[in-house]
Amino acid sequence: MSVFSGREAMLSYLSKTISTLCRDIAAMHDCSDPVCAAASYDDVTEFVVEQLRKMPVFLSRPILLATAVFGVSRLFLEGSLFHNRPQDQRCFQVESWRRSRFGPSRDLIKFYTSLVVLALYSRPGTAAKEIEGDG
Amino acid sequence: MAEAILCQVAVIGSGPGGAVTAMTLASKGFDVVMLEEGPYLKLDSCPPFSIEEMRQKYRWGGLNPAMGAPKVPLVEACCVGGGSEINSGLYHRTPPEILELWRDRFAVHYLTELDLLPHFEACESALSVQLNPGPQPAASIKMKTGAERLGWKPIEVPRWFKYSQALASNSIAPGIRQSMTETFVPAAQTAGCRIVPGVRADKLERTGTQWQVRAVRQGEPLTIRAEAIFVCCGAIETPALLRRSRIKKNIGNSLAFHPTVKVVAVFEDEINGEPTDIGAQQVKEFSPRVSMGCSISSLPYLALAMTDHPDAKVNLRRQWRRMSIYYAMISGPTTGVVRNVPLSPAPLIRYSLSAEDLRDLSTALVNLCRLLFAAGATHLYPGIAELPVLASADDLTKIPLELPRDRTSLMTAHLFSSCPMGQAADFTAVDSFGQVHGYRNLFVNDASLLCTAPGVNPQGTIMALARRNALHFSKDL
Repeated sequence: MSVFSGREAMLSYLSKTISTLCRDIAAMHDCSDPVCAAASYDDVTEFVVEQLRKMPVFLSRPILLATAVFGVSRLFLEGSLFHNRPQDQRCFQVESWRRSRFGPSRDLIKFYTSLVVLALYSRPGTAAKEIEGDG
Repeated sequence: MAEAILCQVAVIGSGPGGAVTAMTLASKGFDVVMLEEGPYLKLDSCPPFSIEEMRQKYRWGGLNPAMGAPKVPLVEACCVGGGSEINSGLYHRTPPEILELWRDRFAVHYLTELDLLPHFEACESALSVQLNPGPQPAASIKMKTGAERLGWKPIEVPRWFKYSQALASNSIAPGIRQSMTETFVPAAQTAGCRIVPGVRADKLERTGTQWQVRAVRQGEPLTIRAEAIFVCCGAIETPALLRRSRIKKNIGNSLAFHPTVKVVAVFEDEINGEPTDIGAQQVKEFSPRVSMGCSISSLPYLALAMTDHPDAKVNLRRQWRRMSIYYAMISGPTTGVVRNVPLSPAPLIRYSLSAEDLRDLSTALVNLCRLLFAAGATHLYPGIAELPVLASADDLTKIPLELPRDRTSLMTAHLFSSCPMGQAADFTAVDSFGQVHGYRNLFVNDASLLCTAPGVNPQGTIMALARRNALHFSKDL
């Protein structure tokens, strides 16, 4: 495998991990109805990726490294990468990292959650929308 | 060969310090060029306090926090007009006791209230500084009510907003923020100043009696040659530029800010009607160490604040009109550093809150929560992850006596003091009028030269000092 195809594979893996993570966090905040999980959150993911690109490199690189670790962290236990697992297992992993005693794990989820939430609640018409049946 | 611009005075940065400097000197007949790294955008190019504003006007997307425990997110602008294009518009003159501290400890000359009065007045007139002529936002009235019930004195802070003449008696005057792009920048252009946006200054060099700015515009080198330079890039980028230019004595070693903790308050009644209008009530009962006030409370910001309480299951879309965010901030002796990072255009900012800071923040937070309960809040969600919701004043004992470093969400929008002024050369970077010690015709004229955290919104101080120093340079003081 050449250096370039290895780099492309890593970028593809990161892209899938980030978009899946953003989608899951958005769905967790958007509503409790599983049907919502099928909703598109491409705009939210786009905002998060845009912000990652703007960050100083000495901050974004560690975040991307931590994201890569997040994506493979249960590979041996679950047998697949984060973005390939069922939604309930993914949400469980997000929650366990959010509540982790290990600061960098919490920081990683807090980073993505902050940006996802900002983008989600900035969608046009969100302030006027009411969702029935939410907690 | 690099393109070259020649001028008498180069002003680097177009925020409150830079814009006032450029306008003042241009109106005195100097040939001035004002450089700005960011774009030239109209004030209304995006809704205030929106993610679109983050995209267009925030440096680094707003994601270059001060590293420490806890990390402190900070907000810097990168556009013509600088911080004035994205801040709350609240105005204070420098407190007299702060001026006295700066005179005594930093040996700043000619810095009495009387010395600064003409500069405050000139800037206040240019910015239309005034109290809101219409009814105050309901969230702001809650702050006033709570303070009064506790026997504390609230103040209504004036803002640099221009309000329309004809208003419905029951409507809140929205007003137009008098940012630098609405005031001093066009005034500077009218006076003959050339404004060059999209230029990043990399390095300053002395060549004989001239100064040279090595810059980049759209990927191409650009050189600006001037007799004098005013560096007005803000409390982070000013020391970063000077240090890249190997000018380092007392530069970037004393960054100060106002660490701020927030709390989301829920009320029985609807109080959040105009979410982009920040309430002007502040409480200075515990000044100068502590100040409290109202914070931006749009739905996205409420959602962001509530990420510290995911288990609360608050239905934001249903309840947000009954919710508002308030803040408590401290000012004090703690400082941080600004350092350049090899191969990175972004500087590294380090700031370590002391145990005393965290205890004072805890006390400030408790007092803010007392005020909000006195105002009628039913539930409070402080910016501490995993803290149970507070449902009454009895719950205030749940707030740790020292805010936990690993679970507290802080932020700041006020940055200063990284190149402090004064004649005490051992720990100041510039003299009483902003000239860098040991460097003729090189000046700092922005928030960097405030000696310490002022304990109030700093733009009024920054602008008054900038005008004073520019007039001194022009020999018209």
